[in-house]
Amino acid sequence: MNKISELEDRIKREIGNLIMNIEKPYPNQIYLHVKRSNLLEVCSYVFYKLGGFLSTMVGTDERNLCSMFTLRYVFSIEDVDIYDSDDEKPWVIVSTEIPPDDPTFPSVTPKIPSAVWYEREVRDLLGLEPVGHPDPRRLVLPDDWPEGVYPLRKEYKHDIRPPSIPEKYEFKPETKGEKIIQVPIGPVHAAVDEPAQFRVFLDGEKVVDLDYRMFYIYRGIEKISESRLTYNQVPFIAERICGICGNAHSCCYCQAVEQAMRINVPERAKYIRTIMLEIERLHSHLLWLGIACHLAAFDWGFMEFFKVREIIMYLAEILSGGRKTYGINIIGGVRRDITEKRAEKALKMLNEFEEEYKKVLDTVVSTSTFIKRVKDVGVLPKEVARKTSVVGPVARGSGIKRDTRKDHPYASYDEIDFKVPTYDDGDVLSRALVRAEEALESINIIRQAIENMPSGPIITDEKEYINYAKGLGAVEAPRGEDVHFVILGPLSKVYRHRIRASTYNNWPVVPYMCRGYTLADVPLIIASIDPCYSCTERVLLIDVKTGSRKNISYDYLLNLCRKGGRL
Amino acid sequence: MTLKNILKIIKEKGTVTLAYPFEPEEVPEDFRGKPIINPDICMGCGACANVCPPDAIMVFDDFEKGTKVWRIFYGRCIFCGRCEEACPIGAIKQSEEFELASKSREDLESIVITPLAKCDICGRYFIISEREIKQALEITKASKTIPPSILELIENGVECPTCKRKKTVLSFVRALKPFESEKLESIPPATAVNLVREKLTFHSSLGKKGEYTNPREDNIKGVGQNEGKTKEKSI
Repeated sequence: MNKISELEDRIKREIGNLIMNIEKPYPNQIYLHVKRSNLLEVCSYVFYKLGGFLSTMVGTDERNLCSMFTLRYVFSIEDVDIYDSDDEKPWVIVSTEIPPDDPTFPSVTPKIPSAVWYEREVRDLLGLEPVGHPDPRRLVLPDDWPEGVYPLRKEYKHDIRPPSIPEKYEFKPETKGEKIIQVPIGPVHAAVDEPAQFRVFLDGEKVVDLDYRMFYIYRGIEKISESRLTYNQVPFIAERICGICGNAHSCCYCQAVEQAMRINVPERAKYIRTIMLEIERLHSHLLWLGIACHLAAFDWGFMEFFKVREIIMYLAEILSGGRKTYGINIIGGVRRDITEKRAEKALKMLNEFEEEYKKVLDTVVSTSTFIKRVKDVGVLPKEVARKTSVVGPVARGSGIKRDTRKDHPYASYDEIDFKVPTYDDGDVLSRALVRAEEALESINIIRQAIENMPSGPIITDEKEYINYAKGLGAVEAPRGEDVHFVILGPLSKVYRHRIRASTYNNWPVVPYMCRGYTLADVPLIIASIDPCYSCTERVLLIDVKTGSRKNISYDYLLNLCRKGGRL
Repeated sequence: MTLKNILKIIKEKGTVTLAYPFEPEEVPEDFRGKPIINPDICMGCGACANVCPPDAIMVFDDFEKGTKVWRIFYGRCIFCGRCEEACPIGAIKQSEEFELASKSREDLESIVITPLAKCDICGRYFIISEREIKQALEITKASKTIPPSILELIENGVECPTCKRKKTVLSFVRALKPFESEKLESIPPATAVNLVREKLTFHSSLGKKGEYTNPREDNIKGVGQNEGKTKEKSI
């Protein structure tokens, strides 16, 4: 008996009475259709008993299909005794329907903390109310967005801009106290120069709590994918979700559609995808290492990492024709072949890169000031990391061995031999070392892929469009797992495109990591998850300065600073 | 120890920054830069406009002036190169140019105007450009499977879709019964189609009397075309 049916049997045996029916559309996915009232019970069973990590949650307006809203909680089952650590892991998707006349559902956040953002988002965008959710504030929509307008409902047109209302947003009111000082950081944040507002609550110099307001650059990409573009154009907007890991997003979307349309991607195309994804990982990790050095006031490291990174940027330019936006993925394969001449050049450049990178890395990790700055700062224990379903280097830095390349092999990762480095300390240093080692592994992967690349076509034309087929794609981006969920619609349009970027899962844990450290550590800790704001904030073009917001003068700010930041 | 290493690494490589923009920046071959149109061969078919993800390329028809306007706005272009892939005649190619900064919006635009074809029957312009017809003729001539009699038919003249439709309907009506055909010629095609549909319901050759109830217009068009062909053959 294979493992997936063993898992299915176990689910049937243990919670069979709570499930309406079980569907297996693809060999490695189990859909559990449950009643709304059983949602909390089934989700916590999958999360705690089956060892599932919450990968994404998809809310869809399917009123014109089945006159219901649907919610799908997607779990990646990684921590169960049926599966060994090297096996390909399954997905379990808990699906429920919500009637439009009573758009509420029981919140799973009290039991599963990692669902906190997903449920706030579904309330903002679809108007589905999570009953029992601890945080009633907005997450995605801007503060001047009118009540009762839900942009992801199908009747909402993508080019409409509703009138604004007076803004109100409170940073964690419960933390206010006599001795507590609030320090505002942002709206353009220091570490990575992107928009987010932070409130740090201080007692003396110790951080008591941290709160954030983000999604200032929510661009409505999901809505654009669903309304204006055809399914073959979406890879290019998916690539622009993120400025750093765009290729991972476009690859992820293509994989989701290829699964829905049952396309067999040619082997050579898979190898080319692998090479481009690893090149992207290399440049992203080097960027992060550089910024980490910069924040630890070690600017020599910053300069050197960026110098070495330039080789990789040029390599990407040779292979794809663009420094950063590779534009190489398309449904059914890739658009540009790697010729022998280019492959040879790439190997030569990789050797040069490896030599220089090792030299710089050795010097940086033997610099005692740098190590002292990042060691034992921003510790994230393993148990907390597990409960919040963190992804990527943050999880691996806390001793959780999860990597989509091993857990849900895609592209040609199942044919390539590579290690997944993990560290147990959970501090900023561990996360830095994980990234540094992964960069070395990436070099190894690119070499193997170039040497073993089979010949053949790079794109397939054999495809058939299937209306309302569902697909799930997952890619290990430099920051962690990206998940795209796609439902194909009529007229070559995507009916639902749910994007979940890796930073989305890592953000909610930042306040936890900051508690107990000093204010000076905060930018470093925030940067240690390698936050990518644009990624997280995918979706509406909004002028945040409309409404009742006052223009704050320089004098006012200066006074504020002199008063110690008391508002 | 560390400081020694740092100095060593700095010394080894020397200066790595470039003097750009004072000296030109080289790009590798097949760089995906600014797409450039060849206005001499572009026929305005709009294949590029169809695939363009950000709608940087647009194609408009001006029926009064009789022109097809192809327009690219580089301010929207994402340099993906889908237009180059889609172009059937290789009129648009990505260049190595990437320095697009400009003070005026007009510099970021490129426009190609091609003449529209004129209908030989009604004398009005319609959505196909002259170059497209030329291209279509070349393709049909090059293929050996098309018999010369049909080639002659194509070369004889250009008809707009409206006239073609009208002609088909008329030939169909004539084949059915020569009644009212003079009157039909002077009325618009949509009305003609309705009129024929009314007649059809009473015609026995399509089934029993009154059985034909399909309200779809393209369906009736299909029937009409077949009838027209059989008529031609019988003559």
